[in-house]
Amino acid sequence: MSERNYKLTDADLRKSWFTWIMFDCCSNNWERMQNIDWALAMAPTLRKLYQNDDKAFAERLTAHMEFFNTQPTVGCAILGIVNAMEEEKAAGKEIPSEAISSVKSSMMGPLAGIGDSVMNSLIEVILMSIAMTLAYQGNVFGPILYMITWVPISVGISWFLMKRGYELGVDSISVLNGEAMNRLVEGLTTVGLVVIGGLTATYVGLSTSLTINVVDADSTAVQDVLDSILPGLLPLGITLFCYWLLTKKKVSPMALILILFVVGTLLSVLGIC
Amino acid sequence: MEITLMQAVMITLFSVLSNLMFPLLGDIGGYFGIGRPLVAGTIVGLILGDVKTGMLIGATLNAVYMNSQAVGNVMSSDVTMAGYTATALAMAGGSDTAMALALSIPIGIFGALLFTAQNAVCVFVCHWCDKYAAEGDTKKMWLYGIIIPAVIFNVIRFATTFPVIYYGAQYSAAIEAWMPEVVTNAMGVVGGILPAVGMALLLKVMVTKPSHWCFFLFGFIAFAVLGIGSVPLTILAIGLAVVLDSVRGQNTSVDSLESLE
Repeated sequence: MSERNYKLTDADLRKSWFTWIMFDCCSNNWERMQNIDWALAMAPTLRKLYQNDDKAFAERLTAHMEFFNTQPTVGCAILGIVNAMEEEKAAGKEIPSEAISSVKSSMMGPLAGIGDSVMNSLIEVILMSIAMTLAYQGNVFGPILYMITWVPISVGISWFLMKRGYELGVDSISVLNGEAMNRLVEGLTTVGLVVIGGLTATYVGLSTSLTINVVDADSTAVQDVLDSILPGLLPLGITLFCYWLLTKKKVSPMALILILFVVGTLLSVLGIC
Repeated sequence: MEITLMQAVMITLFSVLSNLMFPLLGDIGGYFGIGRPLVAGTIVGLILGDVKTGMLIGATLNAVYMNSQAVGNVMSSDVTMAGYTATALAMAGGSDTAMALALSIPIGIFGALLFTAQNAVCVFVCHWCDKYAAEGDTKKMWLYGIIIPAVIFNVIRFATTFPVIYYGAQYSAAIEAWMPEVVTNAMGVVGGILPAVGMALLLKVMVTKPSHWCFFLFGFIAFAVLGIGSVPLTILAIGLAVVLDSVRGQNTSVDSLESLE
């Protein structure tokens, strides 16, 4: 029996990371979600760790066919941690298969939450808001700016987390759930909300064509009165109305779109807008 | 505007690239990259020879579907499919944004249904792969687990998108011409207020405490009243976030000092 001294290199980790980040959305399935690509992402490193042991390789590969679902970019942290655990296990350290499974299953939920909010509701929204406001002014650089920032930032974060996960192992859980993370999310939320405010003012449009006839005077446009209170009062109002329907009345987004179709048509037909 | 066969093929190909099940850096390059309606609209505009119109239609679609991630794989609308198809049809019909918005709804729902069906088919794929994994055969896992499903699903995506763009374009111009003024006016109003849905969906996710409303109103007023551009506004917002963070940091250190005493 040859001596087991297989250390994973950056190249091995890159192979694993690339397989995951590239194909994570292929073959999604309702039974075990992203499991096929996860197993294939683990395959190159497992193959190296169990070079001469086909049986152990197949065993570990099968173990990774279990249910797995997370946000792909931030989920790279789990991939790093699990690679580190597999390496130790192959080196002969006493790590039961269940321990690896439980790391995966206990982390995928929280990281999916962090990933969805940080990547898609914060970073993407902030970059997209800037791009969309530029686009609104007819600037074609808007969508280009989005692509040349969003893609490298996402890929960079995923590789960084992969490396961190591998180096820190299970300890990286505390980093991702720690105080620094909360501060980052709070900061990004502040920035995100400010730019969404600007985006709302840019893209939501509603104005009234009503006039009031004041006695012994010319008719006054209601819109002028509203503008003197706060420009954009009606767009702000309709946005808050939608928010109210979504949160307090639990209306689904698709139903809300249909409601707005009806509201908009009525406002137009009745001559209010 | 007419859409030629070649243009329809090119738009459809980009639509396929943006499919969640197409391996273009997972969801980074596809679904959240060229699949975002702003980018999709710009690409459609580029192919049809009017970048700005495509971009503006795409941007408005993007505002409506601002926060449309598939949480836990449950997708309510496939925005990538809607973005390409609806922008192309609207441009063919006379570049009406409201028309693109109206078209995006059925197309998006169809795309989401297709995605749901593909996830169901992949359950069988998953069971095949169980067998190959037990044999340690990664080559077969790649072939049956990733490559064959990806080819089939993306061919289906092409086959469902292309006819809608190519044949639909001829009708959308006719519909646009036929539309009475009452409807056009109403659609104009609807097109103006629909982006409120996208904004409200974002607010629903991001507002976790009442004080967050201040930031939203700050941004709104900065733009609506003061007319600050998006880049300066973002820089201001980052400054605000950093200041607030350091203030909070001081407060916590004061708290911890008090607790020491």
